[in-house]
Amino acid sequence: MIRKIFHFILQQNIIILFLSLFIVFGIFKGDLFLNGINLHNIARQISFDIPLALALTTVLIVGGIDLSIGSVLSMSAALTMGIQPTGTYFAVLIALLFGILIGFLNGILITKGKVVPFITTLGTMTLVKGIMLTYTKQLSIAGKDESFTFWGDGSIGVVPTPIIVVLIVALILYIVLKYTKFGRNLYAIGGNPESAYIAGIDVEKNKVFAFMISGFLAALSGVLLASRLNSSTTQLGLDSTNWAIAAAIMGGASMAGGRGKVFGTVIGVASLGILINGMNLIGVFTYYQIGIRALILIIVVAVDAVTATRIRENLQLQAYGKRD
Amino acid sequence: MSESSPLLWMKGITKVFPGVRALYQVDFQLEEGEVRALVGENGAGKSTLIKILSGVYQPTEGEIFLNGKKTVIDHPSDARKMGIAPVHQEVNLEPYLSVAENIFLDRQPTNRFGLIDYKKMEVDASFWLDQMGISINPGMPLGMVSIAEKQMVAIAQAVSLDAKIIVFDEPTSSLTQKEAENLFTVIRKLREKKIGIIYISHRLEEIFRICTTLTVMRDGQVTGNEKIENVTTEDIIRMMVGRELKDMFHRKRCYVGDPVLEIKGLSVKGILNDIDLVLHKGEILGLSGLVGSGRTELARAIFGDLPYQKGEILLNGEKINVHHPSESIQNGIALIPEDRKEIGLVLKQSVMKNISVTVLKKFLKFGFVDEKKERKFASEYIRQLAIKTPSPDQEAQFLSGGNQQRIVIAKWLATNPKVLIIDEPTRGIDVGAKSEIHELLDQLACKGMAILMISSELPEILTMSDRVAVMYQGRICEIVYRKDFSEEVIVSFATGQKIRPLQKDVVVC
Amino acid sequence: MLQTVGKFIINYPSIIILVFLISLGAFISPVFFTSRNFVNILWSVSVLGIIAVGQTVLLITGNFDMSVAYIVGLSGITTVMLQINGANLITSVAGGLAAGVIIGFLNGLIIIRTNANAFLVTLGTSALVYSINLILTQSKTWYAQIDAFLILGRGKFYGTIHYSVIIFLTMAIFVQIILRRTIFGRSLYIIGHNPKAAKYSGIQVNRLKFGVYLFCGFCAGLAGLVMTARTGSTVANAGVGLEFDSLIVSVLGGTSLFGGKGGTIRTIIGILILGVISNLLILLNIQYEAQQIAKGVVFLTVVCADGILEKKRRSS
Repeated sequence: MIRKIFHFILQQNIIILFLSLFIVFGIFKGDLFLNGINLHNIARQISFDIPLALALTTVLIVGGIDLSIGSVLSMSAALTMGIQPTGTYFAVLIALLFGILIGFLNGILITKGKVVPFITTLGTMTLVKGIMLTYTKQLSIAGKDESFTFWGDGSIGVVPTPIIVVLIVALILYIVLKYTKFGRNLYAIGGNPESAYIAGIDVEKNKVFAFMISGFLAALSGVLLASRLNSSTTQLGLDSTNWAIAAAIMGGASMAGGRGKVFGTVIGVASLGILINGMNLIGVFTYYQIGIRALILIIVVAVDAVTATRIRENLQLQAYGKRD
Repeated sequence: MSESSPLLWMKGITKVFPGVRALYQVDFQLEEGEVRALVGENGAGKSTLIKILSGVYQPTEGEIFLNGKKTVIDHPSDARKMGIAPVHQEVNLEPYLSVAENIFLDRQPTNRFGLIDYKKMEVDASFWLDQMGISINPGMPLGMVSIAEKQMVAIAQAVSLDAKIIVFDEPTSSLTQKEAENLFTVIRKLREKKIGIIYISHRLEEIFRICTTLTVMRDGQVTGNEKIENVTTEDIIRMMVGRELKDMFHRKRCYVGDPVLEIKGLSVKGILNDIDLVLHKGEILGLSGLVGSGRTELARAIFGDLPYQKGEILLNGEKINVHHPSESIQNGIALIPEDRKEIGLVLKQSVMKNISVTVLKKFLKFGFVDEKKERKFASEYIRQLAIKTPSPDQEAQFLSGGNQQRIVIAKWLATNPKVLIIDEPTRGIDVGAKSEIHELLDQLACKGMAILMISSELPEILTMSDRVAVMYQGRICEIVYRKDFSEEVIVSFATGQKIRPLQKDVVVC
Repeated sequence: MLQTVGKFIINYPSIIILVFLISLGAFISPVFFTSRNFVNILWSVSVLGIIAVGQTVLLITGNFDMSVAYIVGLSGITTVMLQINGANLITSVAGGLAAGVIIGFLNGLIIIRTNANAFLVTLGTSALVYSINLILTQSKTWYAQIDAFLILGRGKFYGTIHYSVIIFLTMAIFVQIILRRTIFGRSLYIIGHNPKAAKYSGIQVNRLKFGVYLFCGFCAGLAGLVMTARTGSTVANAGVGLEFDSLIVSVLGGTSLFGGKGGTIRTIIGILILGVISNLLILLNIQYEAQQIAKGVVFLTVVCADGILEKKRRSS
């Protein structure tokens, strides 16, 4: 029985949620929901959230959290648009490097400054936001290179380009997390830092890398959004962080660290995307949607905490030599 | 590198922690194919020595030579590269990763693309698990296997490292007899492969069976290096405690009075099973059993920290219902927990605040705490229990283990308890301070306090207790009376080799 | 005497920063060192100050509340809406305070029941409160109807200091006494240091934690009233940014993010430091965006110093 619970918890049933949302909206709003244009829109919409949720998944695996991803997103979008006159892809490169740099800063402050990830990334969030507001002078920046919109706004066949890009990135991240020592070490660090340390893993270095990946993915999201809108605004990424936290935890990551799955997170984002789309189709007012999103975050975080406690208790039960 | 240089030579190792000198000028040698027992009481410095060897701590002074070559071990990964493999305790494993990954953490086999080859890893893991004589699915998450299996996984991890030196730290503490036999076979095989083995254990009979040499430590120093055939159990104990057994603290026998605390059919799902226990006035009841047998949980349940589903607790014949430690305090039940630093004390608060926390109500004046009264009260306890502190305002973290334990005792004596539960009263405490704590417990029992003492140390259980309740897998499997006291009897019950039907709990004293 | 001053400085090291900043200000701007300017500084920080009192108490127990910012909006909106619907002064003020306490209740309930991360939960309730604010205001500005209410924000005690400043200072001092001298207060520090040890000492950890969340909600609610009374109107995101600022000033004053250390008197110093900095930046005509960067840098510096000091303390 205990094993079954444990299995159930480890094998997050996010897919069931995904399918049931799909079916519910399919039945009640079938004509609007299940048509090609709408599904195309959902796919495009979630492709900007997936990198953010993956960023959080990566840091949650090492037992951290990154609140700065929203700010990084908006700054990298601003950089992509702002430097575009110098060279479209040079600008993209700078934007991505900026994300990696902030990730590095987060990692260093957390490992060397001995500050908990919450606080550190809250600080960098404010800092990056300040930099962004200064850089943009609180104005929107319009794109100059029309061809660049292909990455965010274009399609290959019927499939939106950005979803292809992020799925390729997700696949790479999946391979890194599942099939490389580096990836497994991240899980080890989050699961039991002490054990990772005595197994000879450089805990601090790996943590810094995890935050750099997070910064990179957040910046990628910003680049794609800039491409989609062909402009950057100061409002980008404002509430994305909460959303990404909810998606990552729904996908199997935990605040307790040591767990998280690329596939689960992608499905988590997709489920939330369908939910938002469905609410729009039904005609739920924006203000209520904000509240519903907040409730989802609260519920997800609370369930995660209760689950983590239960797992801990089950592990304790195991310790009493019950071999069922 | 000369022919005669030993495999390992730790020379003149001293380790100083703030306020404590854990090791002083320790010399330790190990040859190829040697199984060297490292014995000593808790706090003698064995673990510190091993942590220095495995790169977790750096020595304050001293040098380490491997095969005659001077070496600095900066990090656990260095130790591993040099072929030093400590067997970790099961808490130092990864609960969410598979058994196989735990064995091969950070050295998983890879295919030609540099990606982890899970199939090969599980096959390799099965090989090592077979060697240990256990059959578990290597793909299963570690969190799902039993504690003994975890212990075997930890051993498999160390053995699979292809190391020159393997350190076993109390490897049999959670193993059954059969599993322990498997382990001994493995150790013999390792010995034939010329691997040097350090074997730490409290169980002397094991040491006589599988070790070839012996090093005894006491108070951070080496007190003896012998060939195993040249020593007797008495010799070892003398070297460990520094005096003859008859010099150790012996309790004054005391009158045992009426029942104070009665526990009837207490059950906590999956942890405690139908516990019946009676604790009498003026009695010290020892509670023995393996780690994980439910001893600490029984204490927590009585103290109101662990909700129980069935059974009742009677205090002086009246049923009490405790849901929170604050209610236990009102009822006169006190618990001195095993983990003094994390649970017993607030390390960063002053000695005074630690002592007075349970009785702050006494010092209220118009709703405010009167610090003068509080200080006077705390000073009184500091004097009574001879707590060595420069002032009542010193932070508890700067005091030695023995003095910290006295603070915790003071904090609970202040509440005037009828029942005192004390979990591992002398863990991590110097030998001298140990017998002082024992004496204190004896005095308290003589004054009529009912004491439930949990301990892993058999000598402590045997010298201090009036009766011993032995727990096994969440049950009390036997109550042993003073006339029947022996290490063998208690160990055989604690390891589940002997299970007798429960007798009615009567006192003969 | 000198010894007392020395001891004071050791206990409150941030006072040095404050003195330095004030001297710097006096040096830079002739306007700075005037009583009028000081009254203004105090007035400008009093809303933040009232929030920070609640936040500091939470930090002492090792908890956070990120929802204080939108509670400020919610309490103002509730009060104004009640007034618009004809409620009298007392009822409308009580309504605003109750709104804050209810959100505190929600935070506390979720956190003690599920043992979830306080930071994330309050981040969630923060968004939830924001949506309530939006729904109530429909993104419009709403104006207070009762003139007497405005005294809370604009009125001065015999023309010297604003009432809001007096409220803030009184609360800070009063709470400090409770923290230091009552069983309740003493227990909060123990919870912050080590909740497990607190429970094993018979302290009702969850109950007290819950109480502190209520108090923090109350403080944020009160701050919302003061803010609304000052401007005479309110909007959905009236208090945005104050959650971050309340953390900054608490830590600047010397309250540790690790729990168990700090006090509300310290927070007064932290508040004054932030107030003086903002004042100087305004006097020097430095833009809002740059202030944002400065805040981020100050925050990161202070928390890193806190973290490194904490580690040193632990290892020594």
